[in-house]
Amino acid sequence: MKRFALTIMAAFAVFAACTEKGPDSGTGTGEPLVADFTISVNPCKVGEEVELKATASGGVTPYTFTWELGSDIRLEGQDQKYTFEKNGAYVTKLTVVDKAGNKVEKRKNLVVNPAEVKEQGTVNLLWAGKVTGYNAWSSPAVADDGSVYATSQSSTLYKFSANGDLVWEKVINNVEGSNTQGTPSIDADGTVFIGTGTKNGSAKVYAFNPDGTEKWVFTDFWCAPTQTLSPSYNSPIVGIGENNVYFGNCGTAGTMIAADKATGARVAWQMNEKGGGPAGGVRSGVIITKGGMLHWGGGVYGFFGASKNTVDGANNSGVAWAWSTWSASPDRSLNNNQGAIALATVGGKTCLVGVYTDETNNGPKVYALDSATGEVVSTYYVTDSPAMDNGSVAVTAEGNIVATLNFSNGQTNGGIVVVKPTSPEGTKVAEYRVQEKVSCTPAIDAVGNIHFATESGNYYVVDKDCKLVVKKSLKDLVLADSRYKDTFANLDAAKVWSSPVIGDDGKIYLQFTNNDAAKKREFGLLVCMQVPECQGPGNTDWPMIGQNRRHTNNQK
Amino acid sequence: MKVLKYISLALFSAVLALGCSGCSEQQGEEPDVPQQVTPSRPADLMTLFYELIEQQAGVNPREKVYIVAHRANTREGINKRLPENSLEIIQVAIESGVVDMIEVDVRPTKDGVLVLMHDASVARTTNGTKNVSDMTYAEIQELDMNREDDKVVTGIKVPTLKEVFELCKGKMFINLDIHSKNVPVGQLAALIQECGMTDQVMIYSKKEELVEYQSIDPNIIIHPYVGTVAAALEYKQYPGAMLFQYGLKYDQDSDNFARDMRAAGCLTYTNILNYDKQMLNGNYSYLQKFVNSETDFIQTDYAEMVHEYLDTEGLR
Repeated sequence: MKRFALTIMAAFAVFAACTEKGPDSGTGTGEPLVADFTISVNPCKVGEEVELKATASGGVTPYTFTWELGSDIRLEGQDQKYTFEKNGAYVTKLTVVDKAGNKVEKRKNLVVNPAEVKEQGTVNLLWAGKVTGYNAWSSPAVADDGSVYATSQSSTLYKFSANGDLVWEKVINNVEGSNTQGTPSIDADGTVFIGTGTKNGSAKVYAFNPDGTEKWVFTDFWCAPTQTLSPSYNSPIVGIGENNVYFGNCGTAGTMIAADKATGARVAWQMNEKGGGPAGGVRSGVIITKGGMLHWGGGVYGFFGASKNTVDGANNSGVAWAWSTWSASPDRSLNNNQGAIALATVGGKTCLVGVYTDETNNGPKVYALDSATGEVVSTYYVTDSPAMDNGSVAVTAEGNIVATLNFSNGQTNGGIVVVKPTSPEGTKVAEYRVQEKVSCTPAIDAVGNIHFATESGNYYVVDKDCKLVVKKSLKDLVLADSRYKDTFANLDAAKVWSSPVIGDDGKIYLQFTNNDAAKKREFGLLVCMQVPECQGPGNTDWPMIGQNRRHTNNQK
Repeated sequence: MKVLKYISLALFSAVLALGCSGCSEQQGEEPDVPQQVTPSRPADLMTLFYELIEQQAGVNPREKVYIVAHRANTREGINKRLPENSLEIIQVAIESGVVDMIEVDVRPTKDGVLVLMHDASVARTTNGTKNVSDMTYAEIQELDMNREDDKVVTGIKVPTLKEVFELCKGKMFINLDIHSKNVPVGQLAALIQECGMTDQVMIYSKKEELVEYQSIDPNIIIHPYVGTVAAALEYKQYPGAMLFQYGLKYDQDSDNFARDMRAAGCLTYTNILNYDKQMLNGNYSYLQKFVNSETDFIQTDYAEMVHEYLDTEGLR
């Protein structure tokens, strides 16, 4: 019996020894290996610590974790804390390998923005007015008596007094789905011109008296007999001549139109040799040179020149334009550039100048075209900036072109660039680059400072060498003012497409939109500001949108 | 005594044999570890896109075509008379085993609920008549969905986008068509993130909207429509733009656009809608044109037939 018991005990001892697990045999679940990770802050900033935390399940434990941040940074270990020294967009790859050699990868984009530019300089808010609906490219116009006209996408034309009191407001378009993107222009007698109607079939151009009464309304747009007229009106500023006004529509067969500025009667329309209009109608312009040329940018692509005398003498008929440039690949625009155009004197010649992105996709192109012939005088590609859909130019006292730029995620390549157009390739003479999109026309003041505002809601002033003078958050500017902190308590974030306008006394007028999180954009603001360094507009060929505070679009 | 001796010997041997069946593991043989169970589709869209771009490296042909069910339609779903953009037809797409992605259309109701509806009006696909934007969610819930060519009562309701996310989570990639549908950017971005669907969705809309999503989260994938390679390269600054939709010219003998896009490091997606009905008559010539084009993703109402043909071409 004793022997029997001992035998059993021995057997079980052997059994236990044989089935004991080894120290490192791994644990398999039978489930596929999967991995994921979180990024604590994305986008983050240069100098800001980011936590990367990995999770894995399935397969056979244990796991190894390897990180690749972009192409140069490699880290080992499940969780990481990292501080980027260089801005950019990093493809962040996590590779997890299990004990059995199974591997999975997971990738995410991590954007590292440059460190934010600190605010500096002084901006005084003189007054702020509220407009309904959001404000895209429409910029304020300042009359000789100091009153200010503004519109917004709600298609209301507002008149504010020089002190910021609302004088009157007037709905100029109540067609559903149609809004206003134009900028008012003001004649010497105080007549205000404004185009409206972004939906096909709703275009109108109005002339209002300073008291708000309607002088006339133009609806006599043109299209070829084979087509059905259905005009829309985008962003062109009505250019004001001695007897006529000049504007252009989009929609079906949009084209450039001249109308008698006293009566609104159509004087002429532009067409090509086949009786057609510019592709996509008119998107920017119409500007008037001292030498008697009219210029505009096509709705889809191309730039055009026409003889003002020929147009004025047309007696309500179609007249051919004198030239068109860049209407075919690869020079035509990538998309419908909303940017305004301007005039500059280059080598003694009046040139049509501007900035747009063509199909070569070499970056925004800052150009100068001979006004008389359309021949290319200069083109400069900003190769380190991405394509743009807005953006525009002003001209310095030195005859340089200041162009506004878009930016890339993680890159400091927005802002402005200053280009000297005296050679065929152009020369960059200065730049102020920031990680913000600038969609407005810049403004040049009396001492050569350059003013612009960004879609991130900041106002900038740089000197002629592009050294920063002022940077100010527009939202903070308004909300810090006790007069307005309740009126604009729900100002979420400012976004500016609109262009600064400098008054004769150095006051600065600007419109911007409340870019709320839900993107309802139900209201915008018109502000009047003062910056000590700004004493008045620059004495240049084209110091701001529309050439001057009344936006007559006339070369000086 | 002898019996006890034999019993103990037998017991000892049995126990020894049982115990030592595990000892072979300690004698130098490799463990029988489970092999990776490969999921039927990659877990996330972004990783898939990066891997495809790396594999192609700008010059190599695609190895697989991915099939997108237009409005979640499949041949089976259509045959069952299930309404487009409904949970029921999405379920069929998920279960088909041949659909890699569904495309659905999103609109906000009057009271801001995101629902699936292609047209501005509910009239074509429900027993209602108004526009989605003029109806509250409660009013839309009263409606009965149908296929466009019949008004048979189905009892099927217009789904919310949130319900679609819940159904598709972990199971299906989604192309959200919000083009010109007034979907608030912030609201949709928040819903995608809250539902944990960033890895599974991409958004189709106008450029000005798409770039806003990227500024909110560079991992929200955007899906632009482009007509030129240059237009696609405009999106270089937006890391979430990797797959681009374009219009394949089926009326031409050949179309090199997808190849040119591959050379530029971009993936491509196109429709075969309307032409895909020809397959019902046995005409696969348009599908062959798609095959010849080297496009990466195909959007169709008849995923099963497309899959079968592509499979014979070695592209599935």
